[in-house]
Amino acid sequence: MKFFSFYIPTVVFSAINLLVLYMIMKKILFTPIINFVENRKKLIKDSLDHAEHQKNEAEALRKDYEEQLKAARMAAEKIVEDSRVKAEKQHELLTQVARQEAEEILVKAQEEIQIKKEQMLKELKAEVAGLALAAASKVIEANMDNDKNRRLVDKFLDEAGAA
Amino acid sequence: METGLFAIAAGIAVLTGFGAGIGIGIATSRAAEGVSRQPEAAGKITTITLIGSVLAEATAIYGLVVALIILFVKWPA
Amino acid sequence: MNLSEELTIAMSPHGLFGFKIFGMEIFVTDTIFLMWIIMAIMIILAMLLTRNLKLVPDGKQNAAEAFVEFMQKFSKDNMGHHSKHFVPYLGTLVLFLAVSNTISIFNILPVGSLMKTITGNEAFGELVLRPPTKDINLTVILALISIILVIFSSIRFKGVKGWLQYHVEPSVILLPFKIMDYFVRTLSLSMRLFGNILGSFILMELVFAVMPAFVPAVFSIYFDLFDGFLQAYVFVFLTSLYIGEAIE
Repeated sequence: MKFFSFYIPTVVFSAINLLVLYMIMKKILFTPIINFVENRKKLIKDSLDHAEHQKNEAEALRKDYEEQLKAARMAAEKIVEDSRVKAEKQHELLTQVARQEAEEILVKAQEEIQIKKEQMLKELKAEVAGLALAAASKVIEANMDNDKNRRLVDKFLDEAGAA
Repeated sequence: METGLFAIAAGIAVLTGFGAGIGIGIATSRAAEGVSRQPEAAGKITTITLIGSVLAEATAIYGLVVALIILFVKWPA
Repeated sequence: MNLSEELTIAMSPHGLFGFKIFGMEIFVTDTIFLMWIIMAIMIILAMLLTRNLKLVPDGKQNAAEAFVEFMQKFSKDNMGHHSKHFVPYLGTLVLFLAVSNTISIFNILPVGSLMKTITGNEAFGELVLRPPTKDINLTVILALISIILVIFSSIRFKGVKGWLQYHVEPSVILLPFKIMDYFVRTLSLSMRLFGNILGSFILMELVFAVMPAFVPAVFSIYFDLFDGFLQAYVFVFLTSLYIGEAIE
């Protein structure tokens, strides 16, 4: 075979070889790897999307729970506050009632004391008058008209009482 | 056939290598300058230099091919 | 046999075995045979790398994924949208070129004598692992396939009308140049690959003839590995640029 000369069979064989090589390499190297990498990319993207989705969901759920918790806490606080207010009111009411009762009792007691005092004073007066009369009658004896004496004593006693 | 004259002719044809050598040298020196001035453009400059060198080299290759034709193709006497 | 004859033999493809079709003897050259070997290596490697793909990738799967993703990014950078249709082609091309440009570093493997003992065919004794891309027939068909792909993708994504319009934009004067462009691109794509690989191959052969030990290993790092990978990248890069321009 001469150097630097065209030999048609070599050209034809080379062309066939190259085409066959191209087809085989495309089938066993390029298509599988390109598809594989493509699929893997898709898989990774899918799982990332999935994870993102789940994260969002969890976040939403968490927010929901948090809100619920907040609401519950607020409700509890309200209940406590309410009961506190109610208790205070009750307490005030009770105290007032007690104070009123106590005052009433006090007033009644004073009134009673007053009444008793007056009564005693009246009795004392009457007794003193009787005693004085008796003493005076004993002193003065019969000269004296009963009615006149009594008036005199009373007058005296009134003067003394006034003094 | 005077083989000596054919050999001389082939030698002259291969002198195209001069031009290619000078051209590629200039291109590469400019590329080196460009890279030292702008190192971030090294990739692009390399590509352009490669194209330029390859095109400049074509003349040398044509000279070589002509020399081979002179030497190996049977010329009618 | 002097050096120049040896070099000429090393440079030229040779038929390994032949068969007759329509009364014509057709030879399978070492270019084709090496292509088969490279194809087998690539297919076995690809099968190993993509066997039982796992969700959490291990070492080999990482390598395969990194390569495919690199090609996807590369295509996207150069061709914009629609780029995903070209990833398998460009990836196959860059793998094939990278392996075939650098296959000569595996020359210690006695593939030729092995094949000779297996098949009993004397012609296999000549088989050495040389880059198949130093054969102009292969580089021409590679460039042709790329240019045909450019035209097809242009028609596919812009329609016949859009493709025809591309030739007269922005002015009708450009029509001959645009048509010439196809030929120039094919020529430059194929000749660039061929010339670079052949040049480094000849240089390596000369270095090897002058100094058979140690020195070729050092040179081979540049001429076989670096140049091989660079040319593979350049070929794919230019192809993607052409496609990107055509489908825009």
